[in-house]
Amino acid sequence: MKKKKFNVMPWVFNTPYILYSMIFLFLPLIWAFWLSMTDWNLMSPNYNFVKLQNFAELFTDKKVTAAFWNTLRYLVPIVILCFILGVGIALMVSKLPSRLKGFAAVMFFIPYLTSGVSTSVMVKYLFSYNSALSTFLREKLNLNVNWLQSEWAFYILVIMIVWKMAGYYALFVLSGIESISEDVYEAGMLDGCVGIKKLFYITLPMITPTLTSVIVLAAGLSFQIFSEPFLLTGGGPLMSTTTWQLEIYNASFVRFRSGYGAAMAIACAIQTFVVIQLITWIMNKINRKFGW
Amino acid sequence: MRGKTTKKMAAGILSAAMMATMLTGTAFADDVITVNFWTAPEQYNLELWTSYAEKFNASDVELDGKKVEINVQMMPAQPSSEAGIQNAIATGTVPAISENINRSFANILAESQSVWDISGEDWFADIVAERKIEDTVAAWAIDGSQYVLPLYVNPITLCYNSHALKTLGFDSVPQTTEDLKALLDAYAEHQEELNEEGISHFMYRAELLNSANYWERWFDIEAPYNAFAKGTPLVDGNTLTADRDALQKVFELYGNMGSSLLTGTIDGVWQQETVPVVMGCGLPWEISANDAAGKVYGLDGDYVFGPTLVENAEDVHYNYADSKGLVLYKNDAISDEEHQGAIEFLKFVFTGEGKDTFDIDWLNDTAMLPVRGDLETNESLTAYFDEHPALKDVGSFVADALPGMAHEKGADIMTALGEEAVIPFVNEVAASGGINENPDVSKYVDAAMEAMKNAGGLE
Repeated sequence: MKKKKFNVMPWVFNTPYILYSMIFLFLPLIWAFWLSMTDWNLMSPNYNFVKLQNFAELFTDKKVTAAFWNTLRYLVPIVILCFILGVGIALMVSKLPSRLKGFAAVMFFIPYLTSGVSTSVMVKYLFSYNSALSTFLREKLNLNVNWLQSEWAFYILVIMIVWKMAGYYALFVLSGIESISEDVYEAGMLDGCVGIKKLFYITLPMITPTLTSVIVLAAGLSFQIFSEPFLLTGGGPLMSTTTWQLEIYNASFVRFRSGYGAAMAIACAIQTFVVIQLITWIMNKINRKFGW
Repeated sequence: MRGKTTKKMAAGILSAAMMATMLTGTAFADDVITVNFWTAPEQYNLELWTSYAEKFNASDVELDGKKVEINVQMMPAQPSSEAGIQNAIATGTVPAISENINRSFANILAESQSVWDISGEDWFADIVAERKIEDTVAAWAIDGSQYVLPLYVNPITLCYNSHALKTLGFDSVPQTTEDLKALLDAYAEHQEELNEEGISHFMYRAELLNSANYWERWFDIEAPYNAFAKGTPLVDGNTLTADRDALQKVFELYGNMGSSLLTGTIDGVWQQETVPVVMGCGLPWEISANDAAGKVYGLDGDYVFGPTLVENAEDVHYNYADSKGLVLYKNDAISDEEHQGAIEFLKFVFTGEGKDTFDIDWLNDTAMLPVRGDLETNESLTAYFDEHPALKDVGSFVADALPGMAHEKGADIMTALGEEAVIPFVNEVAASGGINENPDVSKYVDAAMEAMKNAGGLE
């Protein structure tokens, strides 16, 4: 019987990634889990092993509850708006003459490159009490809105995030649209598939895997929001804009409860995993429906 | 053959160069004690401390035959300077000494055994005596020990729009709650006239609605509280010592302003062409920005600082000391030589060669008040204060400035105070109230007491 030869090449090519994952992913994850079982502040030589006490505290912490529900509140409009705008921008750009396509795509991509800090400064200025908008509303319409300290704050943050990310996701969709052969559209036209029907019966079904990526990435984004509430609202008013990342930061680096912050991070990771798995499961069903 | 010789020569030269470099490095390592010093994350702090480090390094101070050299760097401040220090301690990259530490964080560092107790040190006693800060350091004590050498102080009081005061017929700043009530009455009477001038509200304090920035409570609650409570702290050790009546007066103070309390965000309110309020919190770090915006200080100018309000004219105008200082870090990564070197640097700056110039240099570079017991009488500073009347006035409040609580859950306590009491109070009472209506604030005072007690696990 011929002995199966050990092939070394796959190991050679995969070793860097395996090592990278071990050093930068698995070891920190194990360390974070250990940290979450302590009351260490990362500074003191003394700390206690508190077992699951930090995790138990999460269930009674109003900030954690707010972060949990706010993440889902952020997720819904962010995913829907990023999807609609991403597809809309991609469709518009795809219809442009070839020489303008690249330029237009870059224009929509630029907000993604803008730092959250500079965007937040602009937004803070735009919605301050003495901004042109607030002054106009106050003087002409007798509307005195305290934008960043009212229920409007949440929607302002959503708009900021969508503005920043929609152009980025549009690039994904655009590449999907560009990969659809003209032959498919021509065949569809022969069967009477024209106008808006083309979008729903050819374009969107043909790029469902790309749309799945966009939806999953946009959903994941909702778990990573930090700089916008950190700089604009501090999580307020009444914790309505707080997020996991903001609360993890506050627990670990403001209140110096690093063990508790690690427990929060693990809870956030679990919620992220469950939500992303759920969305992926739904999208896979849709993909299968369209033959992917 | 020739090629081989060339290669051998090149290898020989390289080896010799490497050996020389190693030996030189070893020689330097043996002869020099390098002491790392972290400054506050401001360019002017870096430049000031670098200039003093250069002077120190040039003076060839030695410890056991080794030269001490100070290496100045700006502390990392992303996401915050405290987090930067926390990270440095955890990773063993913390410097031997840094500035920019307040009493609250010093308490956490002390609890974590990350800073040296300097209370029994002769050099510390010498510096305290030289700077006449015996009373100040007494207020900085944590469990009877000293961990911080206080460096600068911003007494937090109140600030007034001079133009508005003039329109309202006031030629001095309010000193008591009765004075403020009179000012509020005058404001209510002249509201339309002031509105036409662009003064739409009585007081600006947008941060009252921000609970995440817990330190804002030091300025809008603790500063007026200290005055009403006659110095009784909110928290002492692990006990809630807050004077309920005094806290009630703070809530009543804001409650009587009603909807004339402006909580919409304005960046640089005192630098606006028309300042839209009669008064606000007196934050000394705004003086530089006001100067840059061309604002003139004084009752005849654009803005003027006033003391915190008291019940009776003879009461002391206690206020909040936003103050930071220097600490010496205790860490396995810091050798005893480096620790001693850091002490030599402090001696050089505060009792040695730098003692006659440091405070005036500090004022010139940072525009913040150095902690000195003789701040108002020190002749070397007189000329500076004559040229900077705003800082001179602020300096007069320093003697009554009380540093914040030293409690490891200080941030939680102040956050809870904001979340559970201040924000609901502003939204439910102040926002819809009229001027001098004396709203019932007792519910919110109870909530404040309860919130602080629970958040800090206080007795």
